[in-house]
Amino acid sequence: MKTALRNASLLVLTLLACVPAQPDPTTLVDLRVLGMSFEPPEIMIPCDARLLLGLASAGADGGTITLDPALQAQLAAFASKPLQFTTLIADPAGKGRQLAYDALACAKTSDRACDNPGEFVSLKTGQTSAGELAMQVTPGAQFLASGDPLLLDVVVDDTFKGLGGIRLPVVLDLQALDKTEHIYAQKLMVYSCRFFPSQKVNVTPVLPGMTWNGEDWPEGEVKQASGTTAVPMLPVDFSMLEEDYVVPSIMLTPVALHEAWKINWLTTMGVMSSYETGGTDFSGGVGAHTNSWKPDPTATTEQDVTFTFVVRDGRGGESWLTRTAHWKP
Amino acid sequence: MWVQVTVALCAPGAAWAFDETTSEVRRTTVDAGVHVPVLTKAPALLEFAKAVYPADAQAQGLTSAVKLLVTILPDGSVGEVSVREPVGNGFDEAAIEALHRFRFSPAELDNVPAAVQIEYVYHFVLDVPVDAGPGDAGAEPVDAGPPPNDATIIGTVIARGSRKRVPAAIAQCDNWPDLATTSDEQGKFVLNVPSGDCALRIAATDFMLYQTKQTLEHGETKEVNYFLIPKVAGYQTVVRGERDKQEVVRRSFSREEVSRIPGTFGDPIRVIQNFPGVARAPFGLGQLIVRGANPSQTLTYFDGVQIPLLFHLGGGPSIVNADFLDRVDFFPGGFGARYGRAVGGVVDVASRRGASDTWHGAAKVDLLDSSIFFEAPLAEGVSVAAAARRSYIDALLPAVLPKAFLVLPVYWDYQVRLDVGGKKGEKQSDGSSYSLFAFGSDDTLKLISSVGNRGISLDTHTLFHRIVGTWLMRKGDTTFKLTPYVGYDLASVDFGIAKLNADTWTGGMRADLGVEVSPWLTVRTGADIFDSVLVGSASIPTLDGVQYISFPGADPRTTTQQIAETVNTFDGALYAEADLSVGKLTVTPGLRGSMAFLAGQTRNAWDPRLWARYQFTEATSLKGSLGLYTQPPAATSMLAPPFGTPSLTHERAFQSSLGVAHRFTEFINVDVTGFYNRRYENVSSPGPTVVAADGTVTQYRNANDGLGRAYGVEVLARHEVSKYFFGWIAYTLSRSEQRTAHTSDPYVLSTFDQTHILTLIGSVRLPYGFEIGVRFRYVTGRPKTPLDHQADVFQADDYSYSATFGATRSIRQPDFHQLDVRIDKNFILKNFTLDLYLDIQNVYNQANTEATFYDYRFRTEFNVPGIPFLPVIGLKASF
Repeated sequence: MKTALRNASLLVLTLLACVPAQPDPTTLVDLRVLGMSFEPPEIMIPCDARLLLGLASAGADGGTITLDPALQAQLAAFASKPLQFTTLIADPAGKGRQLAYDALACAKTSDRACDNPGEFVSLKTGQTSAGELAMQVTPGAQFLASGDPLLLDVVVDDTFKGLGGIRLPVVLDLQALDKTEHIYAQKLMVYSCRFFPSQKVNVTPVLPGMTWNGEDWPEGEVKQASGTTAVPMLPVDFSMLEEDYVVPSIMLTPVALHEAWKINWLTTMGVMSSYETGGTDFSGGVGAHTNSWKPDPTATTEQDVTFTFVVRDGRGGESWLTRTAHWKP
Repeated sequence: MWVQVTVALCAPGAAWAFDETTSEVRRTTVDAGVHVPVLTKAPALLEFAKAVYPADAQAQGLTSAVKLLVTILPDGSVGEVSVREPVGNGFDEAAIEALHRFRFSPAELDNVPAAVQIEYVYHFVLDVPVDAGPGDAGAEPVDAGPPPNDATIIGTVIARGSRKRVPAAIAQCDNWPDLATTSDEQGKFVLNVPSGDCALRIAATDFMLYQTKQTLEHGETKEVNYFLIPKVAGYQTVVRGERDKQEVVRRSFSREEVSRIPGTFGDPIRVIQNFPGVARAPFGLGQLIVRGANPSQTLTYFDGVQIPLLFHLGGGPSIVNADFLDRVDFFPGGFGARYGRAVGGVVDVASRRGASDTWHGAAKVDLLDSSIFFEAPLAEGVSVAAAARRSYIDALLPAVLPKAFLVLPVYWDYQVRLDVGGKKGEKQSDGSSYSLFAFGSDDTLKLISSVGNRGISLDTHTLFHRIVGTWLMRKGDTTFKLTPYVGYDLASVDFGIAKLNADTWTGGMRADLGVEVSPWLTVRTGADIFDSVLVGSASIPTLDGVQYISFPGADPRTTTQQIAETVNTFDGALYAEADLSVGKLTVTPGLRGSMAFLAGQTRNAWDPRLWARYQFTEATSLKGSLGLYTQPPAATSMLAPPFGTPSLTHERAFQSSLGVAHRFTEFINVDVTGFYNRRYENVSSPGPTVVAADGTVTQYRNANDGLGRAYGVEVLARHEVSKYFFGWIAYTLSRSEQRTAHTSDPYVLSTFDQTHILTLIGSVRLPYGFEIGVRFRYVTGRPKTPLDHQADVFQADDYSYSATFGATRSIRQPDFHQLDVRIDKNFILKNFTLDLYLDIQNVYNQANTEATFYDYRFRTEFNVPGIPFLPVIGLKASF
């Protein structure tokens, strides 16, 4: 909804005033983080949320936090479950250069760089290059330097004290070795408390496929393109995969929702007509996923073009597809 | 204390220019809370006295016109007479001597005979035998013996171009000079003369001498319309001036001023933006940002009734037709106890009554809309005026916008006013006058976009209607004004399947009583009652972030809910204030108490205020004010969470000012005022979020945590409307800051803080019907927060980037400067005047920065330029 309104207002401003041309977000030209995912995307704890809230309030007040041993054991069992943390990195101008990374778990969502003293834990550091960076992490089992459980500090910092799920931020601090480019990319890991029996743990959304000009476009098939003719693209219907789910309202009553996936479209040459498709607007209307690729009219060199389609379910689940086409002038 | 009333020559119902008068014409009319003497009856010449022609001048064949300033006493006799522009040769003395023998019908202010001053031009013309004309060369001179008045000329003297009737024009046959007569208020005269040739001469101040020959048969009666040509179609001001008032700063301007200022398209409200204390709104929008206050904290009244909507379509033309207004009063702060419900400033737009001489009208066409205005007398003392406007930009936009993007804005407005008594008619036995005024506005905006994957279909509809009655009664030194009103507002939004609708019925009343108890004590008191019932309904999805805690980037499908609310608002206020005069010092303590019932809750407020004025000389005064001001929160914002905050209370402000005003000449005056305002308990957003022990969460939308302060100096050097020129220099040096209470956050510059605001305006009337107006503005750039990009900050969950900024509003956008020019050409035809105008905004095409955008990663910023060189042509016909 916010995106739609922002786009509409930008469109109006563009028409009424002269907004200078901006770089197109669909075109990959330099170092970018294209996607981040946890597998599983959510860990649901069968706990009494009110107990957590009470603990959080005590912590916020500076009081002593005394965890019930049974709950402590239950939390530890779920929070220490290892997660597959994957980041998709694009670096088309980097030509395979090495990138330094530091995976950090933080106490505050607003700490985008995850560098508040005493409020973060380093999960893993190393070097990587463009492509998928995968690692196993257990952010929920981390303790801060103060000795406080990180997960609990996240609750303390949360305005809603975990009511919308304990959203533990994990930041990938990614930097070119020559320090010319630097990205902080944040992904929230969701630890939920089951308030209602109807609450189900989230499943990672996966696009079943993509079409190129109306034809199937299976993984590994290189489509051929030439000139400046726009090529329509449409994902294979995934509406059956969008899940019903339940969240607690602020008055602790169940709210029934249905996923409306969003797709972000990226290309290494030319532009996509839409950066993001799907979701709903203010009225609840669902956006379509039709899109098209417009080759760069100034390009003169025959080349492979890589497309990345990142899908999100709006609950923390995220995955991506990549496809390749070969373009001739 | 004194009153200045100026009525220019061409004004309806007056053939003279009324100029400065002294305290003897002071009246305690209550209008807008201050004394506003209204000229309810112009003096009419009853007895004309012929001047003795200076012998030497006659011998030399000299003629002349002597401009005099004449004081007409309440009984119609002539008091002091002085020559304004001496011409010599004995004409001045002869004119003064003749004027002392004139007799007028008494002028009336507020229906009571009063002394006024007029400007009168006495024409000395050599009496010569009738020139029989080329065809009658050699005809016998007319016999100068006793005339047998056996023929009659019934004439109507009309101003060419405006069709306004010209009263007090002197009509005479040169060959029968002792038979002169004058036209009445309807411009009519009856001249009984001997049959035969009459060298008719019609003279009226500021009109070219009209001469013609009429040949009359024995017993013949001729009815003729005489169209007099204005010497110069100068600026006309109906009634204006500085009134007996307690406000430290009041900016008043007339219709003539507002309709000619470049860049405002004749919009009366936008003109206010050119006064000191008002910050420049971005993109030329009409928001009023007064002394650091939010636009919503400055209230606008139309004839004393608060209006919910100031501009069409949020920032388009104002809903007030410029032809319909009499004056606009603007109080940037320190306003009287009569006004309330505002912690910023107040704008009071006064409509005008219809013409009493004959029917008049105007039609205007420009790029956005067309409007029409009509006024006419219906009977003696009864007049009507009406105006309407309708846009047609919805028909033009599709031609210039892409097919995939359709914007259809439509707006219209109307005003109708009926007046009974109080002007030019029979004087009411109880000194009462009545009016009924209906006005309203309607905006619809349809936006359809098929750009991208998400079609946008948005329909909005906003309208309001008001009916306002007025009873004004004056008896002796007491004035009472009662203003009841009713209204209806509608606001609806259709966005896809979501629908929101709000119907609001309003009613209210103002009662204002003013009593001049003694020369040193004047008391004003009154009531101001407002009541409304809002019936709202909504069909909307479950609201993420409001009813449940949303996940970043989530826009899930959800069920649609039906919401219905009825919200009651009542605000009743009583006020009282008194002018206590001791010598040159006038002190006005005032108090306004209000009790409000807002969404079932009671809120009270007491606002003590104090004004003082020390009149050093007649031309110079020192003035100051202190006071508390309150503004109740909207009742809709006091609903139960999550839609409101029931604990909200009044926004409050302490306002103070100290200034000096000096009048240098009849037209030029300067006002310098310093101010310090502190606003507190202002409504801020969001409110607190409270987690209860049972885990439930209460989110409050707002809190009274807003703090603000503004201080500065305002200078207004003004050349008031003269015949050929008006203009002003407005300069504001100010600082406006804000912070949130109960935090350690320091004060930061407010969004619209502008250190220097300089506006130069001038409009000059030239020969051949040309008029040129210029407006130059220089304004310090608005504060902005610097971009401090060190690294991209990406959030994978909502697939967005965050900006890294430096200190909040620690730098500024580039300064703004712009020159606007307006050129008018008037074509004065027999029955109407055509005004063709060219209004050019941004003459030298300065690329001013109005907003800042960032690229999607917030690495670089892009400035959005404002309005480029923009010429607009319009046509207005008035008759």
